[in-house]
Amino acid sequence: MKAEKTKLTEGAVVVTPASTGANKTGSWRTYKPCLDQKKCIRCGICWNFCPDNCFMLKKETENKKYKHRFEINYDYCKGCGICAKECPVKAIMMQREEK
Amino acid sequence: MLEIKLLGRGGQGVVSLSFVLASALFNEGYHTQAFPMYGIERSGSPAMASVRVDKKPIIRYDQVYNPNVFIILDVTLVKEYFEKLKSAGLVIINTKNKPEDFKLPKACVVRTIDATKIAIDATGKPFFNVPMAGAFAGLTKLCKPESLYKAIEEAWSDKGAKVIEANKKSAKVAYDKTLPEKGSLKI
Amino acid sequence: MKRIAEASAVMAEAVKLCEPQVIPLYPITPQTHIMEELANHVNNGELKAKIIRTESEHSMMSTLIGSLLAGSRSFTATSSQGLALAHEVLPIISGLRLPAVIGVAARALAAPLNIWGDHSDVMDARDTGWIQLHCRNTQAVFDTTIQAFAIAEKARLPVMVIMDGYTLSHMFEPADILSKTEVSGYLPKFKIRYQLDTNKPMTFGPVGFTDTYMEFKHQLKDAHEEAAKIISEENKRYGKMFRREYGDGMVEIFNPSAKQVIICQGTTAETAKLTGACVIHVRCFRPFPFSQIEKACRGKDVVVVDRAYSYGAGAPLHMEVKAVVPQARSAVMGLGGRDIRLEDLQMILKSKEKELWVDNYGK
Repeated sequence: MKAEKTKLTEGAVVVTPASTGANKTGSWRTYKPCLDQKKCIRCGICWNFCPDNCFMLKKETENKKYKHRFEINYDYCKGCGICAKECPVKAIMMQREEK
Repeated sequence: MLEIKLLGRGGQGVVSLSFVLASALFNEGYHTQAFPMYGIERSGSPAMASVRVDKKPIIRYDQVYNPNVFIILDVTLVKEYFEKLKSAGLVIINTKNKPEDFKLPKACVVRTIDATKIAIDATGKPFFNVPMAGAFAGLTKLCKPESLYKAIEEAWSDKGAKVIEANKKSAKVAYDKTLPEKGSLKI
Repeated sequence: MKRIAEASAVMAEAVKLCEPQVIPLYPITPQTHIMEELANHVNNGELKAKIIRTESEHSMMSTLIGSLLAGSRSFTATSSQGLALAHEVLPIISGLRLPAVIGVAARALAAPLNIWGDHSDVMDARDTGWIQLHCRNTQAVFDTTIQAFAIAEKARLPVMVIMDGYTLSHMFEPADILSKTEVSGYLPKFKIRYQLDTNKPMTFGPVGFTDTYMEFKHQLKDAHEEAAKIISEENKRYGKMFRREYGDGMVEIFNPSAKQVIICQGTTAETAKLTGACVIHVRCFRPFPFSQIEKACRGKDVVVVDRAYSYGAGAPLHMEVKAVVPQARSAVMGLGGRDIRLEDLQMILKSKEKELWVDNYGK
């Protein structure tokens, strides 16, 4: 066995940052959260509670009442439903995802 | 090689005395070694330390079993310890009694000094390990008072000049009070 | 400059001259004097280091990981139960290939509770991937500590600098102390291959699945083989600069022409010289110097002195030696601070027993 052949870094250090991102974890979702931007009051509770950091803060362009909006990153959302459960205005609905 | 054993009780400065003696003799150009023999660290329990002195580097790391010199800081330990004593040597005891008052093996040369009194007179506190070092130097003439002073300065450098000066004085009094032994010890 | 001081203070002095930036600490007898002295140096402003008081040896050793990864030279010291509590972190440090240096005042393990010296604690840590260097006197403590930083940083492996608890850690004797400029002339600047850096994020300590774990461990094995060479090189380089060498760095052989051989570690090696036998001081226990010992013991009567025991198997140093010197006898001595007298060493040379537990108390 020769360790150098396998090109492993010394001390098992992962030198390329954020390589976890390459592993998209959204594929095993059964229910998909759908955010109704009209109902959303931008409180940020979903953003705070999401265990996978799937709520992305974006600049609002359509609704002049708000400066920002939330969008869901479906690459990593596992469909756990915590956001829908926590949303105070029921703006997030969990829908069956057909594959 | 000369081997010295120090006997006292925890808190009386037995280990400090061993360091001061080793340091003073080191200042004289000898190779020295000092080490404590710790029991359970508790004030009042018997404490022991040893010093080795030689002209050439010392390569022994076992305990001292047959010392040439005994320095006893606490007179109450004499009986307990000397029942086991086989070898002869110079025995220096901190007591106001006379050497004849101690029934020790005949080969022992017993010398007594009231180090507690000297220490209290000089420093106001019973730091009697320092005059015992002075008595050792006076009896054996193995180290000059200056070497002892230097060792005292190094050992208690954090205690301030006043304490150091008082202890130097107490060492000097003990040194002057003791007369060199005939056929004194050789290293 | 030659000075008289306690071996623990001498180790602290050597560490001070190597200028570590971080010192996590947790007290334990008989190591405490090292930490006290280092704290003094920091307090006096002689050493600019951050002292971190931790709540256990486990945290202390874990702090070492963080400070080393952040790119600062770090040092700590421990003993006995402390090393045992920190044990979990030891293979992590070697697995991360961090150049940690720790001082160990080797002491017995409970139960029964015993604060005195033997090698039970360091033998317990022998399979953790650390380099283990033993010291036989105060001068060796000073020199080995300085060499240890150079070795650790070159081999990218952690090093334990071991001195016998009490017998050496509390020994007050002369040692030649180098100056700051001399030490900085010897010891290269601290550097580490992978460092924590917010501008260049990396992952440290990931999962090693079944497909890579073995390869990483093979790396460690290779690193130890390389370390043996580095230890010898550093010993030679140190010897050239300061005229003090410790054998070939791995073993020290005294009086090689004698027919009988005592193989031992620590201060026992000094006392053993007085027996007139050939004394092999196994300075480096990991990596183990098999070939040097085999060569020095050919056709000789060999006795191995151990201050630890691997229960159900045998004495650890003896087991290693026996792999290359089948005729080697074993003598177990000095457990829990029992004195190893010159007479006892003379006795084991005369004895013909395969394994002897030397009982000398009160004799």
